Formats: sequence, structure tokens, C-alpha cells
Amino acid sequence: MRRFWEGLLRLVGAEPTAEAQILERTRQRDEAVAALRQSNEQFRLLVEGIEDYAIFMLNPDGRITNWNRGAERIKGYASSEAIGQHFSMFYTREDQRAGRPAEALDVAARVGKFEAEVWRLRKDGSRFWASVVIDSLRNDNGDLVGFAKVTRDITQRLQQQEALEKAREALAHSQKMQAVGQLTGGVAHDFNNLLTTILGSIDIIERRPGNLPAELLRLLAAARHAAERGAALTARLLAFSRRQALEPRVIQPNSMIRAMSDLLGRTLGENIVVEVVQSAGPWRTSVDPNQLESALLNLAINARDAMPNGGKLTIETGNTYIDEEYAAAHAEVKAGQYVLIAVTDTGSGMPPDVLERAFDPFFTTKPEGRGTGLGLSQVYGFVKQSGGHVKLYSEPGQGTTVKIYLPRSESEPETDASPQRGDVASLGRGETVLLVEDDEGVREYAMHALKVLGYRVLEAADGAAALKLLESDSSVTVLFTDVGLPGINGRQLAEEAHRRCPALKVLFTTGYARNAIVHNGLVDAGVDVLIKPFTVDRLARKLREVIDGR
Amino acid sequence: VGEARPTVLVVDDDPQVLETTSAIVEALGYPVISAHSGGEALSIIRADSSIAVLFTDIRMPAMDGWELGRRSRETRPDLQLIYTSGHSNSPPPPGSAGYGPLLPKPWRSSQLAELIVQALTKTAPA
Repeated sequence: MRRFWEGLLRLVGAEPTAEAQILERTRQRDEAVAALRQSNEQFRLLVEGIEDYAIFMLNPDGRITNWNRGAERIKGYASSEAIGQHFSMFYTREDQRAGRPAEALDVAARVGKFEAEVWRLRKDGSRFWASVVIDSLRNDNGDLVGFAKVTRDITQRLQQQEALEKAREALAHSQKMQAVGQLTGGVAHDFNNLLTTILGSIDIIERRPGNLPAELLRLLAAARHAAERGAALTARLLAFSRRQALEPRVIQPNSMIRAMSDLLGRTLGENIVVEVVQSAGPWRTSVDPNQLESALLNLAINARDAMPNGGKLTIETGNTYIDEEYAAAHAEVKAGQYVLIAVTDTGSGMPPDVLERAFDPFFTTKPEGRGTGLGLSQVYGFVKQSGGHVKLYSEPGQGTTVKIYLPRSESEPETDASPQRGDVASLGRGETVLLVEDDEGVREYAMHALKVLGYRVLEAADGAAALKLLESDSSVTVLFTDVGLPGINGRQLAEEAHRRCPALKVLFTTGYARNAIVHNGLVDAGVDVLIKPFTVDRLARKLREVIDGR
Repeated sequence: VGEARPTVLVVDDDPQVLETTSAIVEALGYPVISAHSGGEALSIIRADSSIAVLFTDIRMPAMDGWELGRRSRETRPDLQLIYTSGHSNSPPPPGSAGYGPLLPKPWRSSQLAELIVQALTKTAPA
């Protein structure tokens, strides 16, 4: 470019030498001048017509002497507005104050050229990222006659570079998270084997409580407590490493969040206002509702800790679309339709360096002993395992927003929920149970359940057989009978059995709701009834209650 | 009503887990046989028809739990299967789904009891 301009100048400053025949010389000179004019004109048109580059000249003081179409387009000034103005008007205020315009001309004058990539201002005050070249212009005597400036708007290139850099960072981050996930997943797998042995051994010892002094039982309980804590920890590690057992169901999150608001209120305390904002016509998603609930609770607890002096927690749901551009800038994110759940607090927020590490397992800003550093990791792993995406937005002093994107599901919502698993706290102690049930399947199930619980079992398919067994075996502690039996019904059987063994305890079972039984007078109010279907756990607890008279 | 004695076959490559698991199943009142590998388990299943429930770890060298489940079903279509794993989401290979529930480690004996009872009665009463 520089040579180009120097060439131009030489042409402008050229003076034909005078020798030989005057006429010839005059003719030649006229031709040369005409050619030069034409060439100059063509060149002027060329330069003026260039749109992608702002090309203009300055006098030695830095005032603008001409202006091309590119300059008009890039900087926003018409040539009538620009010519005569000082070129420092394109500099940002900071650069002006720092004396950058004079500096640039000084460098160009001394070494012939100044080059930089800098922020420049348009007429409307907006900034653009500019590639700037300033060449000094000198005549044949070497005097400075001005400057040629070429400016290019490379904002888009900068944005592309930044986007690329961002995508690289996102990829590196996701690779780091996967590596850490693999590590924690492996640790959790091995620990789960160890914990199975520990908890299982404790289970076996606890099934024989009579053999142990109270002090050892206390130690045993402490060991169980510690092992349970270990199990809870490995469960969170598995969650982070996307290997927890999920039971996804097609749900629509609004009703779940509504049902949670009581729990949230209690967890967050009086100083924090909870607001739930729900969109109409929300989409459904396939997700493990228990884990989603626990993720939201985790976020609420983080929010509470970020708002020690109170504040507001907003849970917002809505439908959203992740476009290709967003997906490209985030590792492991697919474009498409998502259900969005955003949890926002008005708390202390996070600086960028904390934000960057917020999902890392064991990274915590909470005081020692307050947090495990696994809350957000668990949320991250759960959302990823569910095919979703989670994004944090935070500014110190402004608060934090966590956005959870879960892929839209077109399937019909599922209702119901499998019974909760729990521990059998109440086992049998070898007592004899007389089981009366006409349905063979139910009887077999109950028989096995009673046996694993540590009871001795006698079985009968109807009342008559049951009464016979009762006569021949005086060890029966409890009668566990169906209400609807062929022949004499469960209530009549219980009355008859009571006449023979007044100390006999009775537990009824039925497939009908309790109200219906009481209403129909089949059993009296206040009697013990176990509604079918029942789990081993519920049977264990109910039976213990009945036997112990609680 | 007869007194059935259904046997539970426990399979785990971790000897400690195997020992504890077998002890628990025994404490739950069922006869138990233990095997350290899928191969060992298969030959036991072929030889002993009293085995009603197979409780197997999934991640094992040589033959994993899914494979063991599939091959033992070929021999004994009525065999009840319960799987366990420390990596709870190990996905079942196509064709083996529906063979039985997966009980994630570390499980509690009450959970195993529940699943054994359900397996022996096929399904919980409705």
C-alpha cells in the first residue's frame, strides 16, 4: 500500500524535463499531462469507490483533506462533514486523553508507517475494532506533505475470534469435567462395593440385637451412620459423573414446582421471598422427578447462603429454543426445543473466577464444614445425564441465575410413582404369624415377606383352616388376615379367634380404602388395617406396631 | 401349603461383597449358593434346579452380569433375575432389558429382601 501511495505522489510531483524541440516537447508534455490527468482521475475514482476500506488523507497537522466511500460507510461521516476536521475525532475519549492521535502521526512521520488494531468511534458514537495503517507522504525533497490513512473495520473478525476462543474454552472445560467425572465415577464405584460390604455386615449384626450389649449397639449405630453418610457422598459423586440410577418420567415441571413451594419456604426461612413465575402451555420433559426436585432444592440452598440478609428467590419456567449458534458455542449442547427452569437469587453473586469453577466437585466458597462443594456438581451431572444443559449467570453484588434446560418430550405425561424405598427398622423376633389369605399370589408374597422379616409363618386360605391351625398351635402371636374371605370373613374370623385366644393381636389387610371398610361395618374404627398393595417395609412397620401395641 | 425352599444364587467378582451378600441372603431365610464369576454361575445353574433367583453384579471380567442373565435364561427361562451395580446406569444391552430389576450398590438388606420376595412371587400383589 505504501509503495502504491509513493508511486502516486511521484506521478503528481513529476515535471517533464525541457530539452530537444520545443514543439515536440510541448506535444509530448500535453500528452503526458493528459495521460496523467486521466490516470489520476481513474485512480481517484478507484480509491473513492472502495467500500471495504476507509482511505483518506491528512495534512501534516492531521486535518482530513479527502474522504472515500469506504470511509463514509465505515465511519458514518459524509465527506462534507469529514473534510477539514481533525482525525483525532475517530479516537475514543481514553485514547484522545492519552495523546494517541499525535503519537500515531509522530511514529508515521519518523519511521514512515504506523500500524495498529484498536477501538475507533463511528459518527453515532458506537465503537468498532479497526485495523489502522498510517503512511507518511513526502515529496521528492523529503518534506512531509501529509499522511495517507487506511482503516478497516475488523469487528466481525474479532467477534469470530472471540467466538472461536469461547468454543475452545467450552470444549476444554467440558473435557475437564468429563475427566473429573470419570475419576469420581470410578472412585464411587469402588466405594459402593466397600459400602455394600460394610452396610451389609452391619445389617446382619443388627438382626440379632439380643446378642449384643447396649454399648456395642451404640457403636454399631455410629458405624451405620458413618456408612450411610459415605453412601450419600458416593451417590452425589455418581450424580456428578452422570452415572446415577435415574428413573425418568414424562412430567410437566410446573405442578412439581408448585408442590415444592412449601418445602422451599421452610428451607429458605422468613427473610427470603419465593416467587414462582410459570408460563402458560408449558412443554413436557422426560426427567427423574425426584432428582429434579433435589436439584432445585440444592439451588435454593445455595441461593439462601448467598442471601444472608434476606432477598428474593425466583423460579421461572418456560419453553425455549436453543439455536445452532448457541449450541456451537457450548460443548455437548444440541440445538432444539427445551423446557427452561431458571432459578434467580438477589444475593452476593460470583466473580468470574468463581463462576468458572462453580460446577467443579469439591469446589466451595462456603466456610469449612458448611458445604461439600458437591451441590452444583450434582445439578450439573444430573442435567447432563438427562440430556439437558445448565448455565450460570452471575455478577458480584447483583445475584445469580441458574438456567436448567431439559429437552422437550412429546410423550404423554406419566402419573404415579413407585413406592418409596426405606429401611426396615422393625424386624420380627421369631414371633409366629398366622397368615390368612385366599388369593394365592398375595399369600405367597406375604409369606415370603414375613419370612424375610424374621417371623415364623403359618398359612391358611380361609377362616375355617385358620381356626384349625390356631387350635393346634398355641404359639401364634398375631393373626394377619384378609378382610374379604370365602366363608366367614376376616372380621368374623378375628372375633372367633379372639374368643379362643384373648391375647391374640390382629392385623387386617384389604384392597379397599379404609373408609369403605369402616363404613360397611366390616371392621370397627380403630382397628389395624394394612391397605394392599403393601411393601415389605410397610408390612414390617405395621406388624411391629400391632405386636408392640403402639 | 408346602414349604418351598427356593435357592438364591449370588454372583460377584468382589470376594468381600460376595461373602456379605451371601450372609445377608441367608439371614433373610433363603438357602444361598455363591459364585465368583459368570462362568461359575452358569455351570451351577445348569446343575442345580433348586435355584430360583439369580442375584448378580453387572461389572465383572470375562462375562458381565447382562450376559450371564441372558445365557442363564436360555437354560432356565423361569429363572428370576436381580441385577446390582456400583455404576448404576450401566445400560443393559438390547434384548436383556426386562429380565429383572437393577438394585444400585450400596443397597440395604431391606431393599434386597423386597426384590427377592417380589421375584419369588413374580410380581407384587395388586
